[in-house]
Amino acid sequence: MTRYKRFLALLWLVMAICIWLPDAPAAAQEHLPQLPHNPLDADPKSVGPLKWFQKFISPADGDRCPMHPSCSRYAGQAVSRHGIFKGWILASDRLMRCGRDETRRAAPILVKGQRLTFDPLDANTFWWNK
Amino acid sequence: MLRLPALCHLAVLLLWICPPIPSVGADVMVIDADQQLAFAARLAAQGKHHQAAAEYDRFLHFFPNDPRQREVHLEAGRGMLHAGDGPGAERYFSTVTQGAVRDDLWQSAHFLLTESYLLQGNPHAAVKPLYALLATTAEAKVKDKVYQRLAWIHIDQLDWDGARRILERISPEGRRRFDTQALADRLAQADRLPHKRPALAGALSVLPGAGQMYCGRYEDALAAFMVNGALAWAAYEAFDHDLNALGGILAITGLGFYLGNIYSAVSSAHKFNRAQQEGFSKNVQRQWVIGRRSDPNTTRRLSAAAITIAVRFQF
Repeated sequence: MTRYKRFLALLWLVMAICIWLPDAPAAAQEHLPQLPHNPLDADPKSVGPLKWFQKFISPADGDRCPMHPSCSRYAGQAVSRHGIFKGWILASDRLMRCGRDETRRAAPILVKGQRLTFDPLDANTFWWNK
Repeated sequence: MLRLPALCHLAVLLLWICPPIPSVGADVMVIDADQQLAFAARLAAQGKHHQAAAEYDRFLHFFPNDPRQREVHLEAGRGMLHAGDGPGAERYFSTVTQGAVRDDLWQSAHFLLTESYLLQGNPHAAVKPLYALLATTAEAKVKDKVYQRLAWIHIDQLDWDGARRILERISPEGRRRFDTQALADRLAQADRLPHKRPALAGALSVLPGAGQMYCGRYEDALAAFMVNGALAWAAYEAFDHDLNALGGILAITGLGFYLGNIYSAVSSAHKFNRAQQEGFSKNVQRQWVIGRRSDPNTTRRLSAAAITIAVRFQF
């Protein structure tokens, strides 16, 4: 039984870390730049787990990601453009940064009336070709 | 059968109901070239730049033999430039730069063509008209102006060394006029900007979160430490209790997050350095361009820019 208690405690810890995200941002009152149409923002080619998350989890969980593009869309773009391996690393990096220091450093943007943090894939891969 | 008085009444009623039909073509409006230009200029003065460009375009269409065609091409291009239509502006300016007449208008068209390319976010193409002008002009004053614009493009692209090299080519008289020595001294301060070493950030991230902490991202550091620590602990416990399948899944997941943590630290260092350089570039431009009002093109671009995304670019 001790083994299962330890796993239960571990499970709670992982869940607590995952839940440790800021609340959905309130609708902004200030004048922020609206996102221009960008062809690269088109729906990326979703891979299995992402498609499953976007189809079942995201509608139930709500639109809570404070970043733009959202983490799942960012991950989809990363995998589409850079393949599974690099895409997975980029997605992991984004998940750990989501809603934290980046919200104070990156430019805010209005998307559908919501004040989000603009963190496109290019802002995190710009140095690859330096 | 209707009687005559009734018919008269009906006729009067119909005449009263039906308004008189205006004779078609009675008022023919003739607009000459001066009126067309004055109307376009009025729209431009009112800030209706897109409409002004359309009216200048109308002039170009209806008065093809007017001697002011080249001037109007520039005005139409300026209208497009102010309206934020880079490709449209480029078309008008290119028409003048490709012309055979080489005068002040031709030189201005080169500078404006550069602005249209910059508006399109294409600094590589933007420098070409300037170098083409350098190759064809012998006037020191024009060359100095070209060098000054080139230097500002390099500054905009965060290329301080390139900007300093360009500034050195300005003639002694131009240096006095543009105060380039002070600008070069200011650019030398870029070498002393706070800098984070990406390789060190990556190396520190062997311990998850240490690299982010080095870059001043403390919340990211804590998140990276906790996520990686929890996944590593979970994987260890799973293997320790012979739950190899679960351990394998957790280990693969944890490996992704561990590599993501290293990537995050390296990326954070690069982002820190770029933010420092962009801040420096904006400060220099604010101090020299907006403060002194010496370069209206750059001033306009800076004031109109909602978001400035600078891309480092080597010439």
